[in-house]
Amino acid sequence: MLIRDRKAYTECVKLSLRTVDLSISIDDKVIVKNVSIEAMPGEPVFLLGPNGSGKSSLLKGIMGIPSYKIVSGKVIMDSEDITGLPPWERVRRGLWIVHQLNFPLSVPTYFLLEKIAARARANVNIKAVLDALGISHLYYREAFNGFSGGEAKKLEVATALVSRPICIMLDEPDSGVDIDSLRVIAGYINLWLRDGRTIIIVTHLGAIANFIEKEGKAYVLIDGRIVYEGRLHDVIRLVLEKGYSYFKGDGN
Amino acid sequence: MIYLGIKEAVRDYPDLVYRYGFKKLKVDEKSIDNGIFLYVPRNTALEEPIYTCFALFRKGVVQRVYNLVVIEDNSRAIGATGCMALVPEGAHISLEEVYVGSNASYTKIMIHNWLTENIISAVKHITLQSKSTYYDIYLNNSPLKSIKFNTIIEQSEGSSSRVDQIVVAKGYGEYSYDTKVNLIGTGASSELVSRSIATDNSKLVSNLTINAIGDNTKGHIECKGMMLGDKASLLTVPALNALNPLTMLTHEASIGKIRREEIEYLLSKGFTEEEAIGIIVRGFLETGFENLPDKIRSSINIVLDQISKAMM
Repeated sequence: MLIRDRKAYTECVKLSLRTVDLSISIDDKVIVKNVSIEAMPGEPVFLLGPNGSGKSSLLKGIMGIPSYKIVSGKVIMDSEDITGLPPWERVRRGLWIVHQLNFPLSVPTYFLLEKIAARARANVNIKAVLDALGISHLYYREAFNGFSGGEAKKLEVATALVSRPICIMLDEPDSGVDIDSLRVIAGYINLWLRDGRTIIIVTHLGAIANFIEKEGKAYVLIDGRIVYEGRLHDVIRLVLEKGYSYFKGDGN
Repeated sequence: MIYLGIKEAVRDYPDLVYRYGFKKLKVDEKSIDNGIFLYVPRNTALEEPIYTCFALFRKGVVQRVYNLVVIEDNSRAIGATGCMALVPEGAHISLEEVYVGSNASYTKIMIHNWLTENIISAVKHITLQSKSTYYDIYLNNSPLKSIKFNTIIEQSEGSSSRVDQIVVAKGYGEYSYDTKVNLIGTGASSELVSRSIATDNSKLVSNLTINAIGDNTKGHIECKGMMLGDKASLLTVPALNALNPLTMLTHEASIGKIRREEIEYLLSKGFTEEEAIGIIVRGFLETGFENLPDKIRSSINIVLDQISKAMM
């Protein structure tokens, strides 16, 4: 299903996102192993796990970024198998990623956002978007060049705001971010959830969860595998009490 | 205002021409073929740009041009010049003197569009009187045999200048740009911005120098290069020369190729690989172009869009 009229589409369409036995490799090394997760519209899904457990790779593989090769399994948006689609086709269907880390791009911030908005056929006031996020001073600056952690995260959120996606995956929106920035970012996630968008959030310790209105469910990813699944606050309590080493045995 | 050919200007307004012209550059009117004289008297604001075009249209021709631009005190003008070739063989030699009076402002846009065997030599001298401003935008996205382009800006008290130089070197062309700014007067300031792209087998050298001579001067150089040709070479040299301790001079410089991570980032934002390369190149060329009339800005954008599309 292609998005012909993005505005009308996003106002009425709600799509689930799931992976089925998904395995992803980088440079021929399998990083994500047989992962099956499911996210429903308006219900946040959290992916928790220690450094290097494959959380970011999972999101990038779902997004179809070429360096993250899907070696087996499927990515399903609603009822459509999008596993073989290039990333831009996934974006056309409403999938979006808010990256964790970014390197400086050789393009000004406003220019990047203008291009994304134009691709989404969204008539957006870029300055107003940046202003709402408190980063309008970065308008002419090279994207991500010399940005603080909070500024970079907010710009990534801005890319989602101007693109108006349906399924949004956020990679560690709470790392390297001050409390005020975290509240701003969480505010937009809450808006998206209320709007019925599908949200997947990668987080180390679940700091962002304190600001998300809906509880949702959580998966724990260890060494590329889902080892635990439960209600978010139960999972976070378990992680904080016992650490991730607890899940390296049989978490269940 | 007066706007006419330089030879006619020498004939009809010799006092005016020799008061301001033929001073800074070694040239006399007998050695030139053509050129323009733009004179904006004091207290005059020209809202519409003054357009000028020079074309090499005969095979093997050597075109010698001398331009004189005078913007007197408290006046304002915009000049847009296109230099182009209709035949691949030919040489263009250009000399230009610009005088910007006190509290006056001059914006100069120059677009070069040459062909593979053209040889170009250009020297430009700009004199800025007190509290004047000068904004120079130069674009060259054309193949050529060789170009040597020297710009010298001399600034008096409180004057400010900005030069945006955007060059895409192509084919086997040899491109050499040398821009020198002398901040002579107290409080003079300058910003030099260059965006250089070297493609194919081209050689591109961009020297940018700010000499801080007067008190409380400020200067900034920003030169960025992009390598898009395996056999191309690109040399950018930002030079800050402080001859007075009361100055603030800064620079930033970088050269690189398009990184895979940048492309993959844009893929994840909905663009194809070709579009991603085009966006990176187009964004790289953006320098801001502040306070330009819409007509001029859109003309520049057309050229920049053409450059990025050609790289896709």
